[in-house]
Amino acid sequence: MDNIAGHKSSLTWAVHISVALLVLLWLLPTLGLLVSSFRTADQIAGSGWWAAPFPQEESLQLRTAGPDEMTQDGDLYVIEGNLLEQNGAGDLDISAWGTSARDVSAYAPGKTAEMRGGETMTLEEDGTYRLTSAEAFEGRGERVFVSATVPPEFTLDNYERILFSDDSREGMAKAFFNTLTVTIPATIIPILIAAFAAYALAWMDFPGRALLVAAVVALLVVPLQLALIPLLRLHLSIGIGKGYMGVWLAHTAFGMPLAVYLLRNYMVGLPKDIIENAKVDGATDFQIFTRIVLPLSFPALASFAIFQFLWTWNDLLVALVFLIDASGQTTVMTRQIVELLGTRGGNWEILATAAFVSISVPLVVFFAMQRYLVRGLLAGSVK
Amino acid sequence: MATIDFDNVQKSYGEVHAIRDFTLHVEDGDFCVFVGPSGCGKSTALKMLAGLEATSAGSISIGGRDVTELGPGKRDIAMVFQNYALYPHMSVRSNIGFGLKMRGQDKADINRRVEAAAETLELTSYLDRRPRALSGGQRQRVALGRAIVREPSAFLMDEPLSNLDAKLRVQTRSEIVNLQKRLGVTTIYVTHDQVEALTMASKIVVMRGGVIQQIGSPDTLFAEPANIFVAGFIGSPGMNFFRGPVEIENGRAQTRFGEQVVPLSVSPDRLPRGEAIFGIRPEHLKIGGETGGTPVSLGLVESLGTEKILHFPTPEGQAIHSLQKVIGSDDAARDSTTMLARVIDDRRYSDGEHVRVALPEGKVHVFDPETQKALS
Repeated sequence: MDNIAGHKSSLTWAVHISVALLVLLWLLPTLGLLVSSFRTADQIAGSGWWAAPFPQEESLQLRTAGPDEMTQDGDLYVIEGNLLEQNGAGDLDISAWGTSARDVSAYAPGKTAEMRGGETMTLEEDGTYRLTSAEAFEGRGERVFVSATVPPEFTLDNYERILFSDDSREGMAKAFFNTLTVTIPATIIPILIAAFAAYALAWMDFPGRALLVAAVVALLVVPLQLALIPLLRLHLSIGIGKGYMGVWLAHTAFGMPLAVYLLRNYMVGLPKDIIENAKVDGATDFQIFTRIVLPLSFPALASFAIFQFLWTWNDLLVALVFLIDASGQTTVMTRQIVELLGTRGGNWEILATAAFVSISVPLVVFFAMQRYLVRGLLAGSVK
Repeated sequence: MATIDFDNVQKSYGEVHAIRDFTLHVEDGDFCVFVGPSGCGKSTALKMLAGLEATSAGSISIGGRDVTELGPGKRDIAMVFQNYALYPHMSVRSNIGFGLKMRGQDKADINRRVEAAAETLELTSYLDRRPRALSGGQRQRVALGRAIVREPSAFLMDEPLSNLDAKLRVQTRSEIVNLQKRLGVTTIYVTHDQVEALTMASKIVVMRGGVIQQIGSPDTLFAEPANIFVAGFIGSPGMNFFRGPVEIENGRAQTRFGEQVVPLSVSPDRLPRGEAIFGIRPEHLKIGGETGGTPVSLGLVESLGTEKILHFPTPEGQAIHSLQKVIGSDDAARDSTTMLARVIDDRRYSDGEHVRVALPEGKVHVFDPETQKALS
């Protein structure tokens, strides 16, 4: 008798573990993206994002001063100074160093290295060095590879670059606001229309109602790609062309079947007595809709709003077809990220930052609205 | 304040007739109860009166005004639903005032009337709460308040007490009756509980299968049921039935109940020949006489303190086996081979005890076995 009260079924654990795994699966990449967006390119190249909070051994490539600093000491030409200060690397403790890219940690601090052409170099732990040679130095300073433990460091430079850069190939600010311009009306318009339609399909008696509901359900399975070209031609022929109006209309149309279906199903489930009572109370259909059904349908409206918002926010296809023209003035974030992948494919810090900027708004929307998804507004109305 | 008239109203869903030949006149100020087993069409009749269901034929008028084609908002009625149907997102105040607001009354006026209604129903301290913060009884009162605040010409109530617990139900029952008497508003009340019907109504309409069985005051229905269904449905427990011979002796009709000869008060020429169905209410049976009557062996004895319900088998050959279908399954406690007697005395009865049961003259009802109608 495992399933009497007080005993948890072993299946509960399976459920809990699966949920935990799913949460991790979604959370880890997001967290990685967030951490990476605050790191420099060197840090990303040197270690994974999970190492970011800890000090880490890092290999720096520094250069000694050039022949300008050269002094003569007897027979020898000498260059002296502090390697870290000269390169602006900060106050680090050098753990090993080398003069060849092949062996970057050949010497311990304080040791003297023999180099080509009879040069010798001594490097102390704090970065002071002494470079000697029998002949005068020429050209640039010597390359020195230094291994040092660098404290964890986070930077906002990536965000500054992404958000405030004037360079249209890199800056996301314009695309961010363009995306908002697309998304907000493309969320509100279908909700407005669909709520009216859903009420009529749920609570008003008229011939052909069942057929209309069936048509809406049927439209759910039509892939939107089918409609792209005909719809664009329609937009061009009636003079809307490519632009915000076109993309709003397209998103509205593509979101409508799901919206009507979702809202109608929710409204149909509202207690019949409440609506009948409102009718007896003398309310018209419009009053019932605005004062009773709409407030009670808030959870459904919120959940559809989240769906539609996320879908339009993350959309690339519809925006490419109906909005973005050659001028590039109306580009959206998804498009901008695609561009960045092409031009800055190696700069992970830029890509991570751009990606995080683009998911930040959906995250905010979700956390702001998710309680409406859970809360039942109907408690207390009927017994 | 208004009379209510149903004139030959019909309701059918395709081939199925939910209501047939529904004709009823309700006087101004009446408390009229529609009662019947579930599925008898009583709620449908109420919804047609409210305008929430269309009639298939016939007409309905309220206060002499034909409302058959009017929407529910234009009929000047208020309705109380079984599950109260409160608007969950509004405070009690807005719930009660909603109907007035929809009719475009001004705010001060609405507020005054809501306060007055709340006062009547002792809801004043709950006015700013949401329905979910109220108990079942309070929600019920809010639903009542929503009805009375409009001062409509009729109240329609659809089983408003069925969601309350037993004690609260009895209390609210009398509250509703008192309220109705004080306001004097014509009320149509639907219930499947015949006790509610008997205690509340000034006029009862017993329905079955979409057809009115009998219309009358509680006393009339109890004393002179029109047919076997009404006789079995009204009363708690319902009437006992048995099959008996019809004999004529000295120009007077009589029948037999076991060993007892029972004289009938119905004139012989109205009785069918051979056999008839007879009914006797459990409270009219005389138990425990020394002589006369017929000896029976008690089955179950249900004691409710002073009141006792005694079960005993119907005398041999007098049980009616088709009765179950006639009465419906409303009275699940017994089958057609068991009769009940209700006694109030201090004697103790035990299972298996032998007592004499006598049927007093003048309390026996006679029904036609063919039509099941009462003969008198």
